[in-house]
Amino acid sequence: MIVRVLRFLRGYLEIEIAGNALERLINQINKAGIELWDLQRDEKGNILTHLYYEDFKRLRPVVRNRKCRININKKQGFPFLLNNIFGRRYFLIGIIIFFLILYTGSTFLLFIEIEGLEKIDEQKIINILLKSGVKRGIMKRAIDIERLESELFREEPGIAWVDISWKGTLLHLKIVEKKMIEENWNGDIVAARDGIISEVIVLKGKPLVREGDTVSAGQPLIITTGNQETARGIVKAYVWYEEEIVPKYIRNELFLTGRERKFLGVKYSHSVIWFPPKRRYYDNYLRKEEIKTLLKWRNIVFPIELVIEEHQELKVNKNCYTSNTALFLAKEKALQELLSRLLKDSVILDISVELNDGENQEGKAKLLLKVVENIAIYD
Amino acid sequence: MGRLKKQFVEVFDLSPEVVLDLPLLMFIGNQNLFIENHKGVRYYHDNQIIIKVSDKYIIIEGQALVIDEINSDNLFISGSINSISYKDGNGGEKS
Repeated sequence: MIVRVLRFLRGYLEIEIAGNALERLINQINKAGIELWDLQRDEKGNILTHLYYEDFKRLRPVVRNRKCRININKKQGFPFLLNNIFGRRYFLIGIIIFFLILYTGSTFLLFIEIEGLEKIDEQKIINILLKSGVKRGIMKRAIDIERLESELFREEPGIAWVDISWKGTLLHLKIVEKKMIEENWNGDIVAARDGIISEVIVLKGKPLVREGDTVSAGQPLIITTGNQETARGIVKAYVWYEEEIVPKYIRNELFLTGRERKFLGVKYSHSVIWFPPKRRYYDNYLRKEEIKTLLKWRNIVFPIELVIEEHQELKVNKNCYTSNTALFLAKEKALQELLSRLLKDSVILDISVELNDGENQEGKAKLLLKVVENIAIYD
Repeated sequence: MGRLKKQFVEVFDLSPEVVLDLPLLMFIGNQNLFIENHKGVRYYHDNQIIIKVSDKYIIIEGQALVIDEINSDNLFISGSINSISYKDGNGGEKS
């Protein structure tokens, strides 16, 4: 095999020798130190053989004074291949021109793509780009991406974030717009909750309520006096909160039985192959997942990950609370619920608890909270 | 001279093919034959090859015989070889 490769690299000829007493000729060729291989006699009595290309020149003087003809049937090997390629001059020039065009073509900006525009007009962005000299057909080198980004920020205040990147000859602009908050409220202060007003402090505007008034949620408290100003003030009111919770007497208790199963998965992009095949072995189980990335070097992550999933069996135990405990827990829950509903800086004045340990386990915990809080909010 | 050489080879345990200029033949099954130290091809056809060695001829008979490689010392023959024999003097049918 290696000999064949060497022969291919050196280049060889397949020749046909016709004449008489060819054995003697072969011996003479051999004496001249020319190597022959794959000698064959065909039906006509001619000898087909192979020899190295550079030996062929030395063959002439040997053959000259003999009556025989030598035909070259084939030229094979690397030197001839090379010759063929270089022989096709225009083909080679074509390849060079092709790569030159490809290279020079890739140094120009040919396309601009703008992504993420909602309210801003695309033409506006294109105009900004034109102003800073970015248009189709210019050299890629001429564009300073960082400068262009800051240019966009300066020219278009509606842009919150911009990322410019090259995708070959395409300039890709990714723009995120600022979300403008609608300022269409009229500046009036209204009540956030139902309650009885305890205190009104007006800083700006005209109050509509007095201390002792009962207000309901959404009712205007202080209105603007025009002049495009917003009303300002503090309106404190007594507010009652009420929460009723039905206590739960049955408690579900979870505990691990100690039985577990492990699955090993090989993850590639989004598909996972599991070993052993993943099945649901337990009715209730705790799932633990661990992902192992095989190789990580700088930004390059090996695309195949190992996933180890563990299923630990869970058993549910149903326990009963005593009615006292159940009521207590219900009360706690009601309190939690109420506290989450309070406005900022409220002061709790009074808590009244009403526990009703009804018959047939149909009790309820009722909580009533009286607080003072600032119910002034903007409409 | 020849006898002296032979004795010399025997006494010093030398390889006779080198000193006595004898051929070395190597068979691989009946498909390949490797002849070292040949003196030229006497007759070549696809069912018979006669090779000259020191003072004898080797006649190889078979089918589809091909000389795989030939240079001044070595000779490779492949094909289906049936027999191989030695002959003194001017061997072979042809001249």
